[in-house]
Amino acid sequence: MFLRAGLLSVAALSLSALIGWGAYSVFHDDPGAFVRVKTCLVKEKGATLETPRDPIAKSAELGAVRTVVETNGVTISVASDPESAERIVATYRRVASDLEEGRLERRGRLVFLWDRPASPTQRQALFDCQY
Amino acid sequence: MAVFAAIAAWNAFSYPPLGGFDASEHISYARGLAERGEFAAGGASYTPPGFYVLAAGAIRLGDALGLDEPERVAQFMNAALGVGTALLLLVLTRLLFPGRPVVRWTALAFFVCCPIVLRTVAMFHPQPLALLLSTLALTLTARMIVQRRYGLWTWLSLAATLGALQLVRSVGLWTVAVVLLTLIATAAADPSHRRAIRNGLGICAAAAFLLALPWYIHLQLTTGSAVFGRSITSTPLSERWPAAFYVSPGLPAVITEPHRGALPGEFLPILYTDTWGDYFGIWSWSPPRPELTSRVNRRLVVESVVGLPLTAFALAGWFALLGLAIARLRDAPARLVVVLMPLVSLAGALYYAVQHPSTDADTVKAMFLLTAVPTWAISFGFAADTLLARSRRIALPVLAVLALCALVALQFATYASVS
Repeated sequence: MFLRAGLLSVAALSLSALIGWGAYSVFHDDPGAFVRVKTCLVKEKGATLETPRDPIAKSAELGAVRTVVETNGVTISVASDPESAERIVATYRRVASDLEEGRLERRGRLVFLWDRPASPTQRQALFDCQY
Repeated sequence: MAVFAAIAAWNAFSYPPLGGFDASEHISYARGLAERGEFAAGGASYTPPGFYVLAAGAIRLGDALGLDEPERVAQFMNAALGVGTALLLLVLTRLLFPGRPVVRWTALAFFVCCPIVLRTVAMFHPQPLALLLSTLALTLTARMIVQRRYGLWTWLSLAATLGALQLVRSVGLWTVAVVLLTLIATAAADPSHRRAIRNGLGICAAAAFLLALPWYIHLQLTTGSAVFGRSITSTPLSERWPAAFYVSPGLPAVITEPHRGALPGEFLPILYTDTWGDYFGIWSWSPPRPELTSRVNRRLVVESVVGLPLTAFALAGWFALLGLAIARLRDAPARLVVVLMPLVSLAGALYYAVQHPSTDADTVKAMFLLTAVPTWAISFGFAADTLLARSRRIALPVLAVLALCALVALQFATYASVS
């Protein structure tokens, strides 16, 4: 009897989670990874954002943004998945094969192109805003 | 048990010493003790010194043996602590459910296959020692109640265990609370031993507290926070976390993208994905391990999926034990440790997260609930045994599916298979 009640309780919890998710999805738009990255940079890092002119960055599916972290400028491309981000990296490498070590980095679906080789603290600032 | 010991040893041998949570801080703390006899300043300095004293000895041994990475000896020590905990789990289950071997062995299977256990005992981290001491405290409490042995030495050994536990990790306090609550409930349910429990419990609680008191005084003087050693935020309660943090099940990302790159930092989804998968990227992805590619994500998805039936079954067993505890406490008051431990640990983890909000949800980790895994395992074992007793026809296919899920989880918990 007690196990049956336990199983029913788990079923009720699972059902309420599914209903809650369904209701939330209907009434709420997911801001998406790009908005989350931008919000984090502005709110958590106090960054000022600009629209990049870099055509490769602009080709990223979810969007791109440019900012400055500890005096080092950086263009951030947000791809839909790591494979697309890898394609952006490959394009950068094709058009600028002599990029210095530490200027171009991919992390998950994000690609960072720094104006100068990034320091560990500069990199960490962006890693904190990875979605 | 042999499989668990072999995998734990292999993980300790292959997992990088700097790979675990805040590993460099923990190693630096232990090295400071080993080389200069000093407590850490900064880093993990808010963590009690119990583990680091042992780890310092392990590092010295590693140095004496001429190992390139002497910290590995401490990782092997943690693997041995994991095996010790598994043995204690068998003893605890036998005490609580005598003559029911199915509970015992399925509980052990759950414990062995739950990835958070093997992952944590592979690391250079204090949590495995806290896990062993917590399980020992629960076992001593259960033995005392089941065998009605309320002698002085029993109380003193329980007090020493609870005192030592507080000197390893602050999560030990949740176990202290569970032990005290269980003994108080037992005193209420068993009038014939009420006086013996009341007198012994007072001495036990005082002794356990006095053992840890110097550390609490040290933390209060150095950090202003006697228990956690971290300043408590002044942010209003309502602004510490968004409402979704407390209630969101994290669907669908908890299944489709169960990692910190995509899944927002919310309480239950982090606990779930960090238990069965690798939310923070300290095991199967994130440099120097493989990148988080689609292939790696698929593996995390599989882990999230196989964790579902195992979690649901353990939760059902826990609800059943909760019902039994409410309806028939007098019959088996010792089983209250199994009912209370997950509840108190969950409440403790939530309290800690609320007191220490962070932008990246770094103050929520499944590891903080590691001490509750043995009791989840017993809940799982109880559900399996009860189902088997009621209907073998239903139980056998259900248990076969669960065993398959457990094997997939066990493979993930083997570092060589994911690195």
